Amino acid sequence: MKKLLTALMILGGLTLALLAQVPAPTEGRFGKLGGEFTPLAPPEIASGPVPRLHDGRPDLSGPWVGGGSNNDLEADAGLKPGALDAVLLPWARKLRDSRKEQDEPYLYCTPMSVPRVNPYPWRFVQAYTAHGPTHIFVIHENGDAGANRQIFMDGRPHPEDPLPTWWGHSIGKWEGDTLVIDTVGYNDKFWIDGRGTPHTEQMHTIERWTRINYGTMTNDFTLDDPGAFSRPVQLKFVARAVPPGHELMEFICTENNQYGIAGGITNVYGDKGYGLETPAK
Amino acid sequence: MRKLVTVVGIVAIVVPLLAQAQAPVDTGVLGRVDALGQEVKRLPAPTGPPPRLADGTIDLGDGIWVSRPFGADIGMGLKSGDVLPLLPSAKALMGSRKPADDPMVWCLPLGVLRYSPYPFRFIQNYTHRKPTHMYILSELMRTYRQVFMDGRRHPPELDPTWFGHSIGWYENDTLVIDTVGFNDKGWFDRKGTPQTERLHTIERWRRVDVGHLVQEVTIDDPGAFSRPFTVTFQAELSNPGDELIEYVCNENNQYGIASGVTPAQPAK
Repeated sequence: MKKLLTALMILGGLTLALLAQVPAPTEGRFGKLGGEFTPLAPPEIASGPVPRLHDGRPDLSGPWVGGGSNNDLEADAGLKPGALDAVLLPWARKLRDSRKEQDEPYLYCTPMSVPRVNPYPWRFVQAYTAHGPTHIFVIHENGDAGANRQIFMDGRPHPEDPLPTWWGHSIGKWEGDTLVIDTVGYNDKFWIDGRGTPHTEQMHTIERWTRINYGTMTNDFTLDDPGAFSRPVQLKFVARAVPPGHELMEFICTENNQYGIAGGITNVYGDKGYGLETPAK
Repeated sequence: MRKLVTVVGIVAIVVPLLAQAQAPVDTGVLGRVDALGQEVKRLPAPTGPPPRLADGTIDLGDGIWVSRPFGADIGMGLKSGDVLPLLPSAKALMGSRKPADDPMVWCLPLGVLRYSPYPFRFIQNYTHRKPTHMYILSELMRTYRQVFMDGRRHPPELDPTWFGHSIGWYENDTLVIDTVGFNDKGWFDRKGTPQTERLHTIERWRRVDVGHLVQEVTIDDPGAFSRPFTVTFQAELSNPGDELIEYVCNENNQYGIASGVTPAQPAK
């Protein structure tokens, strides 16, 4: 028993030390990552071992909260103030500073995309098919705004000339216990944080997801966008597990959004005879 | 060379013949014609025994499915001669609904039964326990349904939601999904066939062969219908290599951003 206690204390001590290195969640418009809107697994569970699949791979299912940018890419990734500004190209800095909060695409229920998360949980879903593990999907609680993201695990390469999309084209592979996701083909419409940090269609991201213990998963994130940054940026985010038994709930952004239906939108087609007041034919 | 010319000559004859033979408007020389008038060369859905997972379960998740028919009228799924047992209140509500009230045109979720010409996909998840959830992704709206496969029951009291609370299990080769806890906002179809919070659905999904999936749904909603009834729909497996693609309704919608929405209360 004493041995077990000692082991637990050592493990706990190690975990705390690890946790101390990772950035504290930033406060801001979109809330804190974890603890505020979504409960986290308590320490005695979080410090437990990594659950593994039958094939020996770590089970990354989650649900998780955090693990990406939210209010401020620089602070969320634990960079020193000004570190990101130093590599952000002048036009991109200017564009970011000119962006207004109400122009944020996410407020219009369009996808947050990579590496963005919000205070709501999400999970990796490893698809299980007769052809093996062909896809991993990322499912976000904030439904239509986060929606689902598709990662091809069947070894295919990126297409040569992908059509720019919100989520881009993602291919994944395992390197030991780390899930590596490589994505290109993004459009330039989403903001990579609440400050409006911009990017271009040249953006290429590499996520390295490693589950350290039951409650902690790191995302070593390479952001390479020669259109907006003077050099590739290396960032580190941490996702935390929600308590066992907690599930994603239904969140319909479009329905609750102050910029959407609930905001009483203007029907610009009204004068053409279309829209809300059109009588049924 | 002469041979080639002859071949070309034959093809030249065959093409007009084909054009004549396949007279219907929605068919071209190569096959079906899509909404833009482009010919779509699609392989027919395959037949043969459905694939199985290592544990013997029928695999529903190895490709993407397209419902036929879809969405226009839930009554299309009734047995011939049967009619929807709509209560007078439900009939009146339907009559008052306008096309622009359709939740779909507002990028809101399609309900459990309302599929679209866009594909959907089952994801059987893989965890350190046995498969605990089934997700059903829809390309349109990019929404997902969550079905608990871990043997849990419905909670005694539920917050009404668009997709409700779904529990699923297998009965031999049939996936059964039982759902309660719906809100009353969803439309079953484009006609506005209504539902209430008392709706209870039991779906039975059978992959009868590789390329065909039969969905039989019992609808029990004493708030809208005078008796439970069953509708049957079918889905076909899309061609090998087809994947769900990105669809962002909120971006393209005439009622959404594309219409030049102005926020009622700009953020501070």
